[in-house]
Amino acid sequence: MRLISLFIPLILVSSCTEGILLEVPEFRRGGFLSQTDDLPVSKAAKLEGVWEVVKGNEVFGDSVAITISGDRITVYAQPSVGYIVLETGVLDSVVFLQGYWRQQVNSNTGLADLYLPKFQGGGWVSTDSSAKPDTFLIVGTYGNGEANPEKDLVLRWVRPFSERAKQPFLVIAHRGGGRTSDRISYSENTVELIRIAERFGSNVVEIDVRLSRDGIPFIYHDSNLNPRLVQRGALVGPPENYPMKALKDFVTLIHGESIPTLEEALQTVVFETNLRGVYLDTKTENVGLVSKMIPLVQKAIQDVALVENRQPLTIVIGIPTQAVYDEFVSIPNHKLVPSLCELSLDQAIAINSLVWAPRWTLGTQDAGIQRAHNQLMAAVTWTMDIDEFIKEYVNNSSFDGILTNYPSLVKYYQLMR
Amino acid sequence: MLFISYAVASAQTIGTRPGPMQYPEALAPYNFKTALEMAFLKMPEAVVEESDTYRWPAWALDVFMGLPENIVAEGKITTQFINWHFQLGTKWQWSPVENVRTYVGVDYAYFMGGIGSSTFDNSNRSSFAYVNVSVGYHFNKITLTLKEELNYLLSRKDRAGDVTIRSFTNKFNGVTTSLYLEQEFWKDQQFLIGIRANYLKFVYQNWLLFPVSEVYYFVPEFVFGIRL
Repeated sequence: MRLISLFIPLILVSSCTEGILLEVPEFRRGGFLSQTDDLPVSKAAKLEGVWEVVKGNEVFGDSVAITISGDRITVYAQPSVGYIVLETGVLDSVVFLQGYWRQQVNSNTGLADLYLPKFQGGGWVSTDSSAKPDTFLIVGTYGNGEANPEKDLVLRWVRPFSERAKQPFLVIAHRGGGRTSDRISYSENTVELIRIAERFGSNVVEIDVRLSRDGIPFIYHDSNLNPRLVQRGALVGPPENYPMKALKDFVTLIHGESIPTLEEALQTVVFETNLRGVYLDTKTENVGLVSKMIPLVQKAIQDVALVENRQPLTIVIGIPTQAVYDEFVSIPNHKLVPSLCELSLDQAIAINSLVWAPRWTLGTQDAGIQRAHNQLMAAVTWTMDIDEFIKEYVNNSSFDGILTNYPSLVKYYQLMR
Repeated sequence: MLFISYAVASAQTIGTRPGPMQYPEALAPYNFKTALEMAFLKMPEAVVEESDTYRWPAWALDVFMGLPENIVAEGKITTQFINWHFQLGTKWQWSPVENVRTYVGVDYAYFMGGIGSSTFDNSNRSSFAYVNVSVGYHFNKITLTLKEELNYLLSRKDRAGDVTIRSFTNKFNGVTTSLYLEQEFWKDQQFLIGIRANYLKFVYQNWLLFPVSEVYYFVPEFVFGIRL
C-alpha cells in the first residue's frame, strides 16, 4: 500500500489543452497599405459575393464568401472555421488587401497579402467609370505565422449573394465575440473583443452580466475568478463578493484587459460598432441585477440617436433561469422591457419577450418557431458550434439567428445560401 | 446481458485464483479473469468550464479470456448510464524476460450516448479502433503496467431532435498512455490504481460538450479497480 500511496499524487495533475494565448500576425509598419489611398466602403462593396478558390484550397476550401464586416473586409471559409480579415487600399487602380488569416478551431494563422489587378477587377472596384471585367480576380499570397506570405492564393469571382443570403439573420457572437479557449486575440467578455466582433461575421453580441457587491453590473462569465479567465492575482472566489473598484484594480483578465462594467460594454457597442443587437445573459440571481440593468439599457438605446448613420440597436435582457424569470416578472411594466427568454415558449409569450431562445439540442423545433413568429417574436438558438449542425440549421430551419462561438462559420453558411 | 451473466458466472468459478488485472499475464485457454473498475475523467477547464470539470464516474466490467497460442480475448463494458461503451478485442501475450510480460492487441469499440429531457434530445453513436501495447513488470507483490494505445475514430453519428449528422471519419484520434499499479489488497483480492493520460481530439465521454475535434485535449482519467 505504501507504493500505491506514492502513486496518488499523480491524481493531482490537471487536464489542459494547448496554450490559449495566440497572437495573430501583423504587417510591420502597416505594410504596403500605408502607401495607398483609402478604398471607400461603397466601392469595397463591389467585392461582396461568392468566390471560387483557384489556389489555396488546402487551407480555404473550394469557395469562400467575401463581405464587408465592420471596419474590415472578411473572407469567410468553411474548413476549420477559417477566415481572412483584410484592410484595403488603392494605388493606380490596383486594389490592395492586407491582413491575417486564422482557423479558429486550431492554432493556424498567418499573414495574407492580396490585390486586385487593374484590368481584372482593380480598376472596376476603385473607380466609378470602368466596366466590370470578364475576369474578376483576387491574387496574392498567404503565409504561416509572422513569416512573409509565400503560398499562392487566387480567388475568382463566381456570383453575387443570393436573395436568401441577403435576408436578415442574427449571427450572435458568444461572450462578446468568442471564447478565450479558442485563442482569440482578446479575452472573452471585454470591450476590446466587442470592438472587433463584427470582423468575424457577427451582428449581435452576447455578454454575461453579473452584479458587484456595490451594485454595479459588470461583464464576466464564470462564477469564480479562476485561471481560465484571470491572471494570477489577489482576489479569489465569486466576483460578486467584491466592489467594482476592487475588480478593476486587482483583477487582470487573461490577455491583460480589465473587467468591464456593463455601462462600458454598452457604450462600446453604441459608439464604436455598428452591431444591431446585444443579448445580456443574466448571471447573478436574486439580487436585483435585472432592475440595475434596465436603466443602463435605456440610456444606451437613447445614445444610439447621437451616432450618425448608426443602424438601430436592440438590447435584450436574457432570462436563462426560473429565478431570473421570477425576478423579471416582479418588475413593474416588465412586459415593456425587451427580453430574451430561454425558458418555454409559453413563458416567453407571457412576458412579451422579443426573442424566444431554446437550446439547439432539441432539434429545429419548427412548430414552436412558427408559433413564436405568429406572436411577432424572433427565435434564436444557442450555443451551436458543430459545423454540420450549423449548416443544417442555417439552411433548413426557421430560426432567425444562432448564438455561436464560431460566428464566421455561421456567416459563411448564411452567405452561401 | 449475456455478456454480464457470463462474466459474473466466470468470476464465481475462476475468481479463486488471485492475480493482477491489467498486468499482461498469460491465461490458460478458456480461463477467465474479471475486474470491476471505476474511472474519473477530468476535462479541460478551458473548454468545459468550471461546472463541468468533474463529472460522475464511469463504471466498467472488464473480462479477459485465455485462448490457445498465448492469445487473450478481452471484452469490456463501460457506462456512465447515459453513455455506454462496448469494447471487444484480442491480445497476444509474450514474456521476453522473467517478470516482464507484454501484450500486443487490437480492440474495436462501439459507443452509444443519449440524453433526453425537457432541454436535450441528443444522441451519439461512434465506433473506434484501439491498437495497444502493454508492458508489465512483476515485483514481489506488486505489478506495474504501462499501456500505450493508439485511438482511431472510425465513424460518428450525432443527432439533435429531428436533425442527424453522420460522418465516417477513419481518423487518427490520439493516444492514451496508461500506468497501472496493482497489488494484493485484502484476502487475496487485487486492487488497482491507475492513471490514463488521454491525448485525444474526440473524447467520447463528453460527446455533448465537444463540438469540434481538431484540437488534442489532454484529459487525465483516474482509475480504481478490484478483481472480482
